[in-house]
Amino acid sequence: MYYYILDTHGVPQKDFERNQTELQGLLTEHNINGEMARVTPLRIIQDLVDTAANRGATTLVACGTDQTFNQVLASIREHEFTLGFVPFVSDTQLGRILGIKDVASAAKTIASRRTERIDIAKINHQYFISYLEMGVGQYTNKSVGMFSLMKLFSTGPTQLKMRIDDSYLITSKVMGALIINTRGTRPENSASIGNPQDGFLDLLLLEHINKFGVIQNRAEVLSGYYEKIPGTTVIRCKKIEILEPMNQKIFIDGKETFKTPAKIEIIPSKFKMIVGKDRAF
Amino acid sequence: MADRKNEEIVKETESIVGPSVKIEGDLKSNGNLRIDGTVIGKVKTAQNLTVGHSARISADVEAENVTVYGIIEGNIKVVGELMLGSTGKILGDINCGKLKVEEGAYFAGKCQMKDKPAIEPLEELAKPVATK
Repeated sequence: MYYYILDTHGVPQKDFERNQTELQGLLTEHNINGEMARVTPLRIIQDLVDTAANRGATTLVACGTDQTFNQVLASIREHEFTLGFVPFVSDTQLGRILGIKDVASAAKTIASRRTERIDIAKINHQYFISYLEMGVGQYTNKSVGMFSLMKLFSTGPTQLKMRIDDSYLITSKVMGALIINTRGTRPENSASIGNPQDGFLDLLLLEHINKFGVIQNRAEVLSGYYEKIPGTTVIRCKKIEILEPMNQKIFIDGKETFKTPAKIEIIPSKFKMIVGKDRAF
Repeated sequence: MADRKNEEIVKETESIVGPSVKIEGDLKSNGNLRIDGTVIGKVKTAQNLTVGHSARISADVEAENVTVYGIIEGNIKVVGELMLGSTGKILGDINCGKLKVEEGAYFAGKCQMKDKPAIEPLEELAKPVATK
């Protein structure tokens, strides 16, 4: 059975109603059965995930924003589900990763039920599918003007200390860091960075760059393609412990989620996901 | 190599250690590795290691092939080829299959090659050549 969790958070009311109606119509058209449940202040995502498990649902579909899916992931615990996603807003990170751009393509994808086993990353006890951002990394995929970007780089680098794979310590002065399981770009564009089926995390550390470098590499900084910027550190690993600095904000999909210190690890082939043919991996 | 775009290097390299990065401990990799920063400990990769101009490694190194433009203080074991570039410095013993050294490189240590080449004994060469 399919269980759809519909979340209004972050979706304008008018768009939500329209998307819900469209989804219901398309699922009927594609002859997909299932139950829909809407998130309310009294029925939070955690309650709905537990309800789905109790009713024997095998497929859980998060309908809403990236945050909806991240909250569903955080609520799954040890339950076994195949996961799906229906974006109720445009240009979602997860939509880019899974190759699902709107409700229509999501319904079509669910109907064709192409599934792939993918790695899931975990920060402390919370799962995430995409990437973690620190420092200037939090502005990845945001619209930041040139003046604001220059200002960001004028603040100076942060001394970072990490333990990798319980094997070695890294210390470096960085402007930003990304810890990537996957991102909405095809891996062949930049070697194998961001492949959610390789069993590894990719750590990118952006060193301090001068004003000319900021101008020259503006697109790379804002799109999170740090590997294209000279001097960037790229490390493939399975486990990262961020030791210093303390109380540094860590973002997932633009939302502050944790503060350092934190432990991040990859769990290979953890979940089955319904994916589109235009997926980024 | 040093002048190539980072993107190109990333495509063929699994891990890159940037110039401001300092690593303490055992750095192991299954793919190609490029080091431009500082490493104290051990470095081991199943494939190729490139030590950039700004790199300083104080560690024993093991790799399939190694190219050195920076400084290595430690013993180096290479299955294939060790290339010591013009700016490269090695202070330690070398054990390798093939060795290439560019003019200007510095090396202080013992060098041992894996395969002993077939060389005619000196006595054979010393025999007087019959003249008519």
